[in-house]
Amino acid sequence: MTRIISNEQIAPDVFVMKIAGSYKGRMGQFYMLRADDGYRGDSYPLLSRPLSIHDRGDDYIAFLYRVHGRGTAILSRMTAGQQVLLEGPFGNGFPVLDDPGRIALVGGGMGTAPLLLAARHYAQADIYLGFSGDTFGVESLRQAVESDTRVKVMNSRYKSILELLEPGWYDTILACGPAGMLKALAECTAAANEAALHDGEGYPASTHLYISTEKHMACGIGACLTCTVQTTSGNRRTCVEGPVFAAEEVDWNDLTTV
Amino acid sequence: MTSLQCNIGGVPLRNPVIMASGTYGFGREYAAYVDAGTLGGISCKGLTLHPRSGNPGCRVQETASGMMNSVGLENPGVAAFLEKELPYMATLDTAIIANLGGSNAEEYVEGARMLSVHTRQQRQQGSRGIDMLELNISCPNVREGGIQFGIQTDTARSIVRQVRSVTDLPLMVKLSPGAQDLVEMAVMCEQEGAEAVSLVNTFSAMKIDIYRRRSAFHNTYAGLSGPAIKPIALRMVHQVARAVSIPVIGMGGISSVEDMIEFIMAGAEAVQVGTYNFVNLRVGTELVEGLQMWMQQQRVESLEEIRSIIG
Repeated sequence: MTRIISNEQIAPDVFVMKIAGSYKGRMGQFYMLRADDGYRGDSYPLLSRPLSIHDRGDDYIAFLYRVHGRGTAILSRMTAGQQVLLEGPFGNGFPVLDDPGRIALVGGGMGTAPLLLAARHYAQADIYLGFSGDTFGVESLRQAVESDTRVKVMNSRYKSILELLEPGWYDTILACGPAGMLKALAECTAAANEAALHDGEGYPASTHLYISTEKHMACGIGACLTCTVQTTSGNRRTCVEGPVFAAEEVDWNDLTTV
Repeated sequence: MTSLQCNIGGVPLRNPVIMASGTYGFGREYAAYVDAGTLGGISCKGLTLHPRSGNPGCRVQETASGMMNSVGLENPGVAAFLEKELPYMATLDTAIIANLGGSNAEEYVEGARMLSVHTRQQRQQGSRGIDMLELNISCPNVREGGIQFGIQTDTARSIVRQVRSVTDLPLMVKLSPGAQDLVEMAVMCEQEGAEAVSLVNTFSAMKIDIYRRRSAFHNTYAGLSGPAIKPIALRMVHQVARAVSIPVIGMGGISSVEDMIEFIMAGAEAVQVGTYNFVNLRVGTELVEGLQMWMQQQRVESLEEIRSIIG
C-alpha cells in the first residue's frame, strides 16, 4: 500500500514525503501523486501532481516538493500512516551515459529534487545549487558524491548560479530548475560551444546540456496533451518524451511562457 | 444474466462505457492500465483534416471539482491518423469512433470523406476501419475548429448535411453546451440523418491570473470539464433525450457508476467518460465492472429497464 512513512518540513514551504514500498524509477523520472482521502475523488484536487523522484530505496520512495497551490498544500498536511495515490514512474529521466566525461549537476530551488538520484549515479559529478532564500537538500547531495568541495551553493536573491559555474568546462551538464535559470544556462552553454574557449587546454570540444522541464499536466501518460513543449522536432510531451530534453531542442520562448 | 449491450446507429457496443475524445489519445497510452476489450468504445483524439500543433501557453488549470483545458485540437491530421494510428486502434477489441473537427465546411467534408473511403477500402480487403464518426462541432478551444459551428442551429445544419452526404458511416454529432438552443440543435441532427448525438462537450470557461493580470490561458477562454459540470450536463441530456428518438450519448463529469446510471436514467443510450480517465487511469474497466455489479445488486437485467425512466 502507499502509506506515508514521514512528511517532514525541511524549509519554509518545502517538504519531503517518504512513502513505504518498493518502487521503480530512474533519476529524473516522476510519479503522479495525490492524497487518497478514501472518497471517490471528485472534489479538489481532481488531478494528481507530477513530482520527480527525490530518493528511493528498497522499501521506500521519497518526494521533495514545495507548497505551491492547494494540491501541494493538501499533501503537506498529510501525516505518517495516511495513504496517497501514486502512479508511475513516468518520463524519460536523465540520460544514462557510458562516458559522460566531466559532468556537472545544476539545480535551482526545487530543481534540486531530482538531483539526488543523479548524484548517486554520477558520483564523480560537480554539483551547483542555487537558492533564493532557504537552502535544502544540500547535505544529502554532499553525502551522495562524498565531497564537500564539489558541491557549490549560491544562496542569493540577486546572484545567479552562473556566477559559480563555467558551463564550457564540462562535457555533460544535467540541470533542473526554474525556466529562466535553465534558459540562462542554455545560452551560456551555447555561447561556450561557439567560442574558441573550447580550444583551450583541458576544455572539452563541446558541452552537452540536458534540462529537466516542468509543465502543468493532467494524465502523466501522454494522453491529454496539456504538457507539450515545442521543440525543433515538433511538439513533445513533457510526461513521455520529457521531462528531460537536450537544451538545443527546446523552444525557450515556449518554456518560459507561463 | 445481466446484459450491458447497447446499440448506436447499428453499431453494437458490448457495454455503454465509451472513452471520450481528447482524453484517451488513440488508445495506446492506456494499454498498460485498461484492457480495451472491456470497453464499449473509444472516441479518438479530435482529428482535423490537416495536422494542428495546438495552443501555446498554459493548457490546463485545475478548478473546484473540475479542470479547464486549452489544448486546441493538437492532432496529426486525418491522413496520419489513417496511416499511423488506426492500424493500432484496429487491433483493439472495442468500437472505434473517429472524432472529427474542422475550421470550415470543406475541411469537415474532406475529412469525413477520407475516413469513409478508407473504411470502405479496409472492409473490402477484409480489414477493419472505423466504426463510427463523431462530428465535433463543439470544441471551444480553437477559434476556427468547431464551436462556431455548434452555436447556431442553421450553421450546424449546413455542416451536418454536407458531412452526411459524403459518408455512410454511422454519424454521431457532438454538441456544445454553449448551443443557443441545444434541443433544437439535437432535433436538427436527427432531421439531417445523424444516427446519434453526444453531449456535452466542455463549457467555455475562464481563469484569471490575478498577479499577471491576464487570463491564465492564451486563448482567453478554455473548456471546463469534470464533476463540476455533471449536474448541468445531466439536465441537458435529459432535455435532449426527451426531444429526439435517435440515441443520445451522455457525458459531462462522469466519475462513478452512480453517475453513469443517472445519465442512463435521464435517457442516455451510452455514456462517455473523459476527465475521469486522468484522475484514475484504470477507470474504464472499473466503471464497466462496477456497472455490472450495480445491476446485479439492483436486479436490473438490462439497461432498457432503467433507461429514460425519468419523465
